[in-house]
Amino acid sequence: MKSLKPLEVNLPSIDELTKRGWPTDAVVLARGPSFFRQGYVETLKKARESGRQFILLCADGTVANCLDKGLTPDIVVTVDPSIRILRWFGDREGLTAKDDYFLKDRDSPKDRKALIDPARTIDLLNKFGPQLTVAVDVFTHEKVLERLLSIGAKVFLYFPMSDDEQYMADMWKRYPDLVSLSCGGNVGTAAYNLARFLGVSRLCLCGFDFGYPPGTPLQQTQYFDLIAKDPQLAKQMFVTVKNPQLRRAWFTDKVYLGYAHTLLRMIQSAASEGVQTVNATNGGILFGAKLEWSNLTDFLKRTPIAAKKS
Amino acid sequence: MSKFLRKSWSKNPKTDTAEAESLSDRFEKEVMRNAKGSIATVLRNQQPAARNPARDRPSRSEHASAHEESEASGSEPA
Repeated sequence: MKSLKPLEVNLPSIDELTKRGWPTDAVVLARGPSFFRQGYVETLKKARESGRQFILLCADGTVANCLDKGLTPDIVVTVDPSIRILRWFGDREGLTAKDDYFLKDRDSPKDRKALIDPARTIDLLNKFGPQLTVAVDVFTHEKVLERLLSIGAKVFLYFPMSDDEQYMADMWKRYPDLVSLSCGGNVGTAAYNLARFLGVSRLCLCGFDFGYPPGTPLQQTQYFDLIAKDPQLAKQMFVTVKNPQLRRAWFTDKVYLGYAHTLLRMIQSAASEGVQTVNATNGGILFGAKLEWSNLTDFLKRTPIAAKKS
Repeated sequence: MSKFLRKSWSKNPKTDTAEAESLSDRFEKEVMRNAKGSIATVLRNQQPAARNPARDRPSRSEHASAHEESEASGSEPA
C-alpha cells in the first residue's frame, strides 16, 4: 500500500469547532442520487429563513448546489486524498477536466441538469469562500487545501480514524492536538460523525442512498471501471435490496453495502447514547433498527425556532 | 463485455452480509489503495471521534510532580 503524504500545515483542529454554540439538531447532506431528486436544498433554505435552528453539514460534493440556491452550509466536510475533490471547490486549472466520476449515477437528463458546471462552481466558491467552514482531513490533496485557503475558507483539520494501532500511534505522534474522526470510508459518514462530535442529539440524513435507483445502467455505477477489468468480481458485485420503507428494490454494489452496514452500526451505537437518527433520503438502502424513516420537512418542524430580535 | 454485464443486475440477488463485508474490504483495497487514511476500518469502539488519549489525562511527569508537591505540603493529592 502506498503511503500518503499528510499535509505539513499548521491549521486549527476541528476541536476548535466545539467552542461555537451549536444547535442540538443537525442535517447532514450527502450526494447520493436522491440529492438531485428530492429538493432538500430548497426545503432547508425555507427552514433557515423561517428561523429553524439546526447545524447544516454538507459533503463536499453538495456545496456548490447549496451555494447556487443561496444556502450556506455551516460546515463542509471533505475526506479523500484524490485530486478529483478539487472539482467541488472550483478547479481553476482544469486538473479534473477528464475525470467523469462525478457523473456516475447521475444518468437521467434531469439529474445532469442539476449539476453545477465547473465555471459556475469556481464563481460560487470564489464569492462565498470566506463564509465557509471546512473540515479537512490531513491526507487531502494539497491542491484542494491551497484552493480552500485561497478563497478564504476557514479550514479545520482532523485525521481519519483506523483500527490499525500502529497507524493511530503514528498519527497521534505527528498530530498530537488533532481529533481523529471516524469516516466510515465515505464523506457522508464522516460528516455524520462530525455532527456527533459536536454533541447533537437529533440527526437527519439526506442523500444517503448507498445505492442506485432501479434501472440505472451498470456503466453508470461508480465501480464500473473495476468491474470491466475483472469479470470475476462482476459476478459477485451487485446486490438487490428491497427497501421496506419504499416498498421498492434498489440495487447497490458491495462497497456501498459495506458502507451502509458500517453507518447503521454507528447509528445504533449513537442511539444507545441517546442520539436519534432519522433518514430523510427517501431512497436507497439505508434502513434498520434505531433508524427512523421520515421526511425532511417533518424533521425540520421539530427543530427549535430562534427567538425574534425585538 | 462479460456475460454478467449483459445480464440484469436483478438476477443476481446475493445478500449474504458476511460475504458482502469481505468483498467490500477487497474492493476498498483495490479501489482506494492509495487512501489508507480515509478508507481504513472505522469501527474503533464505535466512537465518532477521539482526542489524543495522551492529551486527555495528565502525563506521567505532571502526575508525579503534583504528587511530590502534595507530599511536601503534607496534604493528600487531589
